[in-house]
Amino acid sequence: MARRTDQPDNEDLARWLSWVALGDRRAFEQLYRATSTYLMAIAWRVLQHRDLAEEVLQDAFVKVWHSAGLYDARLGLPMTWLINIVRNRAIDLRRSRANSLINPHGDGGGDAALESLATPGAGPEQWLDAAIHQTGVQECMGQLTAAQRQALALVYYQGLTHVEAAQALEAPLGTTKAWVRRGLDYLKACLQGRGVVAS
Amino acid sequence: MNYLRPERLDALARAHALGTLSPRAARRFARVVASSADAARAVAEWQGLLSTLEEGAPGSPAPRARVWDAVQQRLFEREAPARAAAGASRGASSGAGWLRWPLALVAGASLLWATLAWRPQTFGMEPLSGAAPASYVGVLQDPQGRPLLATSARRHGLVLTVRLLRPVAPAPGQALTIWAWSDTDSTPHRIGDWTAAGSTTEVALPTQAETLLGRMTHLGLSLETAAAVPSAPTRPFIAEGPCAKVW
Repeated sequence: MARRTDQPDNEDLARWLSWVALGDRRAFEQLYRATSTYLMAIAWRVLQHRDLAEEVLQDAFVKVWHSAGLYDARLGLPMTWLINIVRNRAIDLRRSRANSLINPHGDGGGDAALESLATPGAGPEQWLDAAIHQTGVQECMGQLTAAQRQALALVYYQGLTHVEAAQALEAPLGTTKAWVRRGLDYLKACLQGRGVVAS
Repeated sequence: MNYLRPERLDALARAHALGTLSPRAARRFARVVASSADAARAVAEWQGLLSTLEEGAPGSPAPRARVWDAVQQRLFEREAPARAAAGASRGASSGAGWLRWPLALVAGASLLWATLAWRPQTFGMEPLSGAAPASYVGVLQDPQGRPLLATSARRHGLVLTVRLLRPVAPAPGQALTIWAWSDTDSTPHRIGDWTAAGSTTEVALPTQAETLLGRMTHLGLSLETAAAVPSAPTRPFIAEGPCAKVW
């Protein structure tokens, strides 16, 4: 499966965002062209539906146009800011349509290209493995239990609530919450200890 | 409940960034984040950590062209009437006499602050250091080669100070708009505009000058329609000049 290597340069993103805050439509288009495919994948992983992922992307960029001036470089990278806008919108949409939308196996919105991404063996847990591998800190992953990895991957990549993750894992709610909490706390300490994220 | 106790704040920030708070709790905590720098930092820290989980994750096909078309349609299709209404609203509010004195006070204080910061010798004061602060500086000349505008923005500042060296009188409804471009990309980007005819004006920047001007080598000045927010100059530059780093 193709992995993404297309994350744009954060310095360019910061500059485009500041121009967008000044109403610069060309910078807005540059920002869209540079990030939309990357951000689309985030929405798709939560929704597993092409049309809805595109709807999220549309909503997210409308929000970016209106709130680019709120991006604060002191708090984080521009891509992190964009990822959160898209992911939050995707989670909101997923939960508002929880009963009618999600096919846990991913129907890909009827799109063959997306169906290929939802094949067995290429689920959230494998995405988490790949992310940790990509950051070069596999030892962080090795310390997580299988249950922690599964719970964390379901909640992060697919936007599941704790209740939904507990049902998917057929585990008690409190246990599932603890897996997610301890998994994240461990990852934070491990990634900070290796300088991958700021401490 | 004190949301800012370190352990509680970290747990809430983690859940907020992950998206596992209930909608009601998320709304309540969002208000805390909006009003507390500590809370904003805690959430940003978790968001930064979670964003590393995107690395190496699978991609998806590019969004179809209709997505960008729809974004443009939603944002810009009805723009003209909205701008006209905004202009009318500004016209109506300009008659609010009760605002004039406070605004004059703020403007006067701003001018005093800018003068103290930029030219302390005006008030018989000397700069704290003999060295000028690290700044982006421009001197723009008209087509006849006469200096028309001087600009200065501290490297990490959020204000561009512009000083007209000769009078320029925008027609009613026009704004002086400043643009920047680089040697490698000649596309001008709008940096800011102002309508005041006074000689010195501070133009607010949406982010640090370093981000906006760091790669820019040229500045240009044009007269644009005040109610519009053009992405490209619609009229010829009335002055151009280099944008230099002074540090």
